[in-house]
Amino acid sequence: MAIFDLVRRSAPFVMVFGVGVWLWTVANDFAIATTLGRAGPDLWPKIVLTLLIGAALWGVVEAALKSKRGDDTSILITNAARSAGHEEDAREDLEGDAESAEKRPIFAILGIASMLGYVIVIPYLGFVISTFLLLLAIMMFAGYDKPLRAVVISGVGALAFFAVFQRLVYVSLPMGMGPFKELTLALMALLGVR
Amino acid sequence: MDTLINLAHGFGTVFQPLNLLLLIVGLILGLLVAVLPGLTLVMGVVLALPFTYGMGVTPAVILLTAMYVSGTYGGAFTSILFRIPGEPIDVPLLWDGYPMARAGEPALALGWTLFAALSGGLVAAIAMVFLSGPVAVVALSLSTPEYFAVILLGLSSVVALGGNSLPKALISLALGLLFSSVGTDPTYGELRFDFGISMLGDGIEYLLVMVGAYGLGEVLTRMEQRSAAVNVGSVGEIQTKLPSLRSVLDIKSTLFRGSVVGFIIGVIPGAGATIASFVSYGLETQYGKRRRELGTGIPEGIVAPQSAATASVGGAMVPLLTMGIPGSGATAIIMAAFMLQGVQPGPYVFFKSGDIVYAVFASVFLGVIGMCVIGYFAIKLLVRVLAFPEAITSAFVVMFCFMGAMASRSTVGDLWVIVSFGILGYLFERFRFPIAPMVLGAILGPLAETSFMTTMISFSNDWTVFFTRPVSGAIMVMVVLALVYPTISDRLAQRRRAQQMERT
Repeated sequence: MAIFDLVRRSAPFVMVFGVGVWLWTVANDFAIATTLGRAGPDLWPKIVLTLLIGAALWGVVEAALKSKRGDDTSILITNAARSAGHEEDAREDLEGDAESAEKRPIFAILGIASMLGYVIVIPYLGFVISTFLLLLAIMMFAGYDKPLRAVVISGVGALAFFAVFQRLVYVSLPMGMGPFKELTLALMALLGVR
Repeated sequence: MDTLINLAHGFGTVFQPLNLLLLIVGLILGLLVAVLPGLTLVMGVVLALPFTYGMGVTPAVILLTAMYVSGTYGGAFTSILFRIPGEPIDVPLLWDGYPMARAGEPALALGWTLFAALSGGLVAAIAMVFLSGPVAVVALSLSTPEYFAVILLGLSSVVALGGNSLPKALISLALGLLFSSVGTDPTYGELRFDFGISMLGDGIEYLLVMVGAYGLGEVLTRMEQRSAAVNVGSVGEIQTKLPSLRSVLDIKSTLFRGSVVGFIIGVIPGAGATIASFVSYGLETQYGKRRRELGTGIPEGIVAPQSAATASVGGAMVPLLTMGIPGSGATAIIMAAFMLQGVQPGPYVFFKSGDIVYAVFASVFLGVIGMCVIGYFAIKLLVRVLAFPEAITSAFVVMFCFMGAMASRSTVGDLWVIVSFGILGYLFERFRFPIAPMVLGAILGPLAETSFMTTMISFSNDWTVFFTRPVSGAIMVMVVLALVYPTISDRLAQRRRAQQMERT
């Protein structure tokens, strides 16, 4: 169990360490390199990568030495709350929902899938329909329990965003393909956008 | 005298119809994001940023500054009335504000908050106006080694004060600096870390890092928790009652202490309103006249944290406007608004574009007054917002983030980048890595690299120059102190605790 806990706590640092080493090899392949007496374009990234790799190693050691998860609150806050005699209260109140609520990563994964799906389908379905679907998906996955109302809010929201982009921010939006493009053009005509 | 004349011009600028409208909009939005579940102050300012693309730099910064100012105040309502801190800033308000409300004086508790925010904000605003000039004069005399050292000090204090795990904060910072080095190198024109993807050849915009990590990351984290809606019940009785002049005079030392501490903490990069609020309450427990009664619902317990939180805004503006060093998430976004308009805040802008700087100063003054007026009259409406379903807020936050990404370069490709940073932000939250160092690294990375490389080229690649020149050497010592402070402080606190336990 202790080994499992150690692996779980040190995994992010090991991953960062691996990424750091890999990026170092990438930086080694830059066409211009640092030589004695000349700072090249790889110097700054390598300084930063040294920091990254060093911090990752430090993190692994820290994870191995610490038996319990460390407090992530700033030392100044911790000290102030401690001197005020509210250390425990402060920790609970600062962590708030994050600690008390039951975590269900599936909904975060569904959220990520919705966002990735949006980026994939937007060139085909166009802005309005994709946005309608995204708003609806996020609302439902975030726990909104009134589906009909969610459909209406998503529809109005998608049209409102479209109008803001077209009339206020002046950004060209993906129009979609086939019938979806026709729909976007019709909406643009309705807003008086050419 | 010049300062006062410039400030008067600044007020004139803010009173122009568009600027005044944006100030009011910013104040209302700041109060709303501080109350709305699922939104934080920094996230709110990030989401407003894309709307500033089409504005000039002055209205853009006025809007965001107003949000920043009022964001330090709005959460007090829900802390005092419902024991729900809108922001971490408001946690110390729970210890005396909520008990005072429970003891039948909610209106007076709200009145003390308003008074503290107003007084602390104005005291800090005055200090900000008169201290910025001298600081900018000093900043103007800095050469590239000193400038690099100052940036390093800013970044290291953000790392040191952001949390207790130094490795996590350093990793976050290093990643931010790495993201800023993607694309064409500014000195040699070499393509770095583009992996053959043309989009990466243009670099990663810090805006995408910021909006993705703060906005989408937070939404994904909240989706995982599926927080239930809050029942605020009847708000018919809620009102604000201002304290009497005599009771105000009784706590003048608390107010003074809170305002000064808040301002100083605001000036230190990395230590923003939350730390100011906690430290001020902590000081009150040590030096306050009625320190033994703290926690029972006395005004000092409300005035100390609230005055410091609002005063920190004035303090945070000083390094931002005089040296171009943002010390917190919110000031990083205000700096981004400057940079998006092609203005790099720092001593040159301070002296050459004083109209912008003094308009920002004036907007802090008017923002503090305006937020109190709005808070006083619109408290019932603001509190009702707490019951707004978080799921709807989350969905619209996602779209505002995408809107920010699409509006910056009008490419769908940027959506991939922002979603990637959203996932990274979520993973950061999940594994408790701080996001602020990464965002500041992404913003200050190019400045840090340029000043570092210029120094290396100018001083024949002699890196010891950072340590041998008196000013940069002294700043480098401060960098080291900033990095070792949390460890030493933690050890000392542990030792004190062990001694106390032995005694008891």
